[in-house]
Amino acid sequence: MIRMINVWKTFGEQHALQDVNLHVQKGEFVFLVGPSGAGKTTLVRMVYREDTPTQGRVIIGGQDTTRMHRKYIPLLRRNIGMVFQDFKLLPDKTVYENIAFVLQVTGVSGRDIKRRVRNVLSLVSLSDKADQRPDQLSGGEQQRVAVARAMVRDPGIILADEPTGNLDPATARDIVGLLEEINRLGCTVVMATHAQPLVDTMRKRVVELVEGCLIRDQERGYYS
Amino acid sequence: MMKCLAHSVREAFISIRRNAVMSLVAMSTATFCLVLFGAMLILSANLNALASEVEEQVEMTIYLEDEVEEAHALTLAEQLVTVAGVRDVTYVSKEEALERLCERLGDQGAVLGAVGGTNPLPASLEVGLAWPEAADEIAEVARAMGGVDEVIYAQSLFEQLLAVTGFLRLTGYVLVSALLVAAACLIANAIRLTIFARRREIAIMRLVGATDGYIKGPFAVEGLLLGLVGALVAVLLVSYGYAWLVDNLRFTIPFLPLVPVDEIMDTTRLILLGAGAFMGFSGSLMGVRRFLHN
Ligand SMILES: Nc1ncnc2c1ncn2[C@@H]1O[C@H](COP(=O)(O)OP(=O)(O)OP(=O)(O)O)[C@@H](O)[C@H]1O
Ligand SMILES: [Mg+2]
Repeated sequence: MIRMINVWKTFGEQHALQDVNLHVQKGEFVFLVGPSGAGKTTLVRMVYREDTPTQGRVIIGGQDTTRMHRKYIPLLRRNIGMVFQDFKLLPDKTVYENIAFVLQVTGVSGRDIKRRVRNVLSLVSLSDKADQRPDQLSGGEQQRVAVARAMVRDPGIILADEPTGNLDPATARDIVGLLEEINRLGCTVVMATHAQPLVDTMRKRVVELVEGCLIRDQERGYYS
Repeated sequence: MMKCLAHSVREAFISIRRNAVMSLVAMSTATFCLVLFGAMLILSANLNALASEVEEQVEMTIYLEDEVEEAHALTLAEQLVTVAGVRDVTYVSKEEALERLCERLGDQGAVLGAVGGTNPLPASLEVGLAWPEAADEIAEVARAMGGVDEVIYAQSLFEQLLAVTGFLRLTGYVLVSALLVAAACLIANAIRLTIFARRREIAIMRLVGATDGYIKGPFAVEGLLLGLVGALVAVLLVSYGYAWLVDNLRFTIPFLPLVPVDEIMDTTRLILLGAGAFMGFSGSLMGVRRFLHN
């Protein structure tokens, strides 16, 4: 699903990624860990083609994104759900609209949109908040909206960059629980995180970066 | 396609309502520039009318030698009409010349008496010029013809006139084009501000896989609407303004040949609306581009 081959990313003098090789198969759940500035976000950005490597190749679902034309980027992203630390919800739209909007972008019909949004809203237990705006919700609720938005298109990959960074431990567990559930439905999940207790209890594959180098890749691993 | 258009229109209205102040700024910028543009259009139309009116009045007179027969004179006239730059040629016989003189002086008998019974006036060809630049060449051709005594035309007057009307038109066009460019930039800037306020939204739309077209659509429609509404206001201002001017100047400066309102306003309206729509549309696309290509 995700394949990185000898990937380097250099900003000026600084190497954010150094010769990273990574292969994530369909249906895997991967924790991406490492100290601040290790290059986790940089790696995640390569996957959704927000950035391209200075050297090396990034292949997503069989497609080489480094050689991809600009106009195919939206199509790539429609198969990737994203969850960020700061939620990235549209502040002027309701919860329902925030989720429906990613379906409208792809041209799903109105009736289908309604059904699918109701579906994911009940999955994240937010059916009763559909008409509220993001600023009327708690952080945990906002992140659940973001997760619902990420999964509503049934993407092959969900990328989460520190999705629990702004949440208390209990809420954080909820969110990761949701991601795990989505993963069980067959979706590949990559989650960059600093949340040691979560990683240690979940016992998933752990990939560790330090100063841009991939130093550990461990099945059923621990945070460190 | 229809769905995308409907989405764009709906989003455009939402955005205009939400950014009411910005929208108003962009719109009044459009109005301001288009009023100036409209004024330039009208001024330039009036200059053109004035210039061509004056040019039309310019004529050349070719005096013929006394022994030239009327038939020969008419063949000369026919030849002259084919020369480039000649609009028309009128033959004025000795008798007609005399009649004209008498008309001007009043009493035919007295005039004839004064000149001693014989008609001293030469027959002539009066040449109307299609464009005064050709005057020199036409005179050259005429002088080379048999039976032509003298060619008279106000050479320096032509030249001055040409210089003045040419200069006025040129300044008009230069001003208009400069104004158009300035207007487009101002609108692009105003719209860029409304886009800047929504850059987060655009970034998120890109993240979830919206195509550039889908993102640009609402902004293009928004720009188009703002440009059109701005142009509409400008059209009203310019229409009433010019009508008022024509009404008032007719009495204060009656000899000024102002182009009538009906004759000019239809095209001016169309041009202003078109320019407004175009400026808004291209301005907003110009503005949104920057947030897509990074
Ligand atoms: N656009 C950029 N320009 C310059 N340097 C950058 C840029 N993006 C990232 N970097 C650098 O690359 C390195 C890796 O950054 P990255 O954001 O990937 O780290 P991270 O592992 O996500 O850290 P954190 O855990 O704090 O989020 C950092 O040293 C950072 O300063
Ligand atoms: Mg990061």
